[in-house]
Amino acid sequence: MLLWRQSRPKQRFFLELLLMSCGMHLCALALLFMTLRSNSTHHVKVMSSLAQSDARVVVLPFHKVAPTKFASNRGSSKAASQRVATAEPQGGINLSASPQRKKAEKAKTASVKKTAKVTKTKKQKPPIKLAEKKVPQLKKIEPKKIEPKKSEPVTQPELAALPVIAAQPATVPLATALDVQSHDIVYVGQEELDAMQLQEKIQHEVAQHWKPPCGLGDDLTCLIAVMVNWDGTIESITMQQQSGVLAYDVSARSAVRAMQFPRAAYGKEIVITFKQ
Amino acid sequence: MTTYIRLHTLLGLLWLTAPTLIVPASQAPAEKVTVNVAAQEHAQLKLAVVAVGPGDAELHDVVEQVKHDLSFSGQFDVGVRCVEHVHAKNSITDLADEGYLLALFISTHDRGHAFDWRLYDTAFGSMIKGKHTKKHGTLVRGWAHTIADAVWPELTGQPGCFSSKIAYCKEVNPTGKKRHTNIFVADYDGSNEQRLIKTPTVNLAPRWNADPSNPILFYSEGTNANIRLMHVTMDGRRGIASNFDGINMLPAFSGDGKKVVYCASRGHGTCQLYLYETGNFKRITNNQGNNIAPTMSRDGDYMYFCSDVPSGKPQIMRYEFATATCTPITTSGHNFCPHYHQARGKVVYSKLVKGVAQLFVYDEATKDHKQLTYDACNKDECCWSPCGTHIIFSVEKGASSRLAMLNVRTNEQRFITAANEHCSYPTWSPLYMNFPVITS
Repeated sequence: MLLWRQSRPKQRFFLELLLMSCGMHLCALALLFMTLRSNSTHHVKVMSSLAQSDARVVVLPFHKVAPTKFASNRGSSKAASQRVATAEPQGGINLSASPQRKKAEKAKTASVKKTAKVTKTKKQKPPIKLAEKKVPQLKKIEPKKIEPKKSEPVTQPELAALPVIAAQPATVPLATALDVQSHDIVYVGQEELDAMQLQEKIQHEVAQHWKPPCGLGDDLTCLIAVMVNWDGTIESITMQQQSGVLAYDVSARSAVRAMQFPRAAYGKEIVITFKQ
Repeated sequence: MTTYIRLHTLLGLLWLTAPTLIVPASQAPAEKVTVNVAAQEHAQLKLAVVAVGPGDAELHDVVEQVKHDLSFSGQFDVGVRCVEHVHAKNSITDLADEGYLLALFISTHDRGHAFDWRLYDTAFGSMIKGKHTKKHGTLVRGWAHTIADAVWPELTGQPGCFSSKIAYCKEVNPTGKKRHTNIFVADYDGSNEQRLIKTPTVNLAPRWNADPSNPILFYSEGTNANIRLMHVTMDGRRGIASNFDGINMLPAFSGDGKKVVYCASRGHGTCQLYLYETGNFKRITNNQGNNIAPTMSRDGDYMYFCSDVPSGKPQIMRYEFATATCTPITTSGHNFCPHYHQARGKVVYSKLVKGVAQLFVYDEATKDHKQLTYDACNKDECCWSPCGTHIIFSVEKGASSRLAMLNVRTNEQRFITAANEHCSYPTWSPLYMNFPVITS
């Protein structure tokens, strides 16, 4: 045996090389598989909540998904205010004094409503002036800079023009924008932006075709899942949740059958919630 | 070395086949997009009513009446089709190509003694619901109303009211010196009006009993001595229900029909409420004001009525029988003519808004008051339909008085009596198991 082992050192070397190579190949394959199989459902859900808020949207085109430090600003202003409250201690502010905190929060929410005006009309003026007066500690996180005109974030009604904004991202001083209006700025990545646009297109398409009879009820909801083929045809329509009113469900299903899905929806499962 | 080469060839092949293994997996609809949509527009839903049978005139009449019933609310665009037989699934799915999303097939059954109706989803040709309904009575429209009442909850999730009746007062000699007011009964939509009380007196304020199998109408008749409470069956047999001095009016029944409350003055200056329950007669209110228009809950535990005791202005009150406590529902303005819907827990009443009586609805659950009407005509004597979807009331403008119906779901309002008639005191019956036929 020993003789045999000693006589074949080359073969052993090749076997080890072979095993290493196999392992690397398998790892590479697994990585490729995981990447391609990755699902973007959560991105879209973020967008659906975003679409209902008045938040401003800043696109980060070099990110598929907005990084975590920016992603913390997503969502409605209420949620944002909660996040701000939790973020403040990180800036070294003691929030245990509840009356002060309440005042500061009130002042902040008041200022949020006027943010658009503040950024356009008042030069170099921090937007949360009241908060500064009553809670001096807040100054610590107040920015001195204000976002330049170039980087004016995109508001929700201007979604159609979003790709244009996305073309000049490098000039956006993100940190400044984040600090000035931490409540209502939402950073999104390219994937999220795509999902958002897809959602808008589907919403528009459904609205064109779905006309339920009036007077069926105020709080009816039905959920329909549509599998869209890669050629744009509908593979299947599944009623995931019925409203309990036949006329309502049938009208919703009929609208789905009449829809022309946008190209971005091809090969995807679209779950549409029909609300009266 | 050979093994090494072979294995590398295998790995190479694996890499080559990787796209075929992985790409289809990625192409499968794994990505999920969630979209919320709210209805921006409303439109009528297309529904086909199909008569199945060779040249049956009676069946066609039924189908036409069913079409009328289902399209009454304006929510459905109903079309009628006639076929001799339903050969195959294709004959149902073909209707989908015509734009009909649902189809109701009606045929005779049991040698013509019953109808067979089936509701189909035209997209798949699948049956959603089907039932036999026996023919009760001789009225074709009554049969159709029974079918419509059975189909309506399937379509809308709400009860129908097609087999109910409306009673009201109408002046029969409005131009002459001596005006008489008779009691008329019509179908749920105001059609097929029939005179039930035609005595040459003033007959007022009809009210239906609560029995869905035995309709009796109560009304007040003016005599030389008093205004007495009468009752009449659908075949015209009349009787006296209450004959105290003064006025005897506006009976209200509990849902089980065991309790009845009505107002009577009994020779005193004020009108009080009295409860009659299985042989016991009891005075409910005892004050210096007028207490009128009672309307009872389903189990008879409480009632709503109108009283002017607290402020001199009429207000809506809630009375609990168990504790004999009275709670005001309204506190300001003039509020009158309440009517309680026992199933929905809502009270509709009239309230003076800038001198004009408008309809309001009070929700028992949320304690909210909501104004329903806004136009310049006075609206009073309101009454719920048994399904809780419609409110019937009288609309007064100048000297004229017409009956109108408001659909609270669609907010559609329509008159059901002519402009040249003087109609008042509308009241809606419960939903009858067998459509009542007036033979008086």
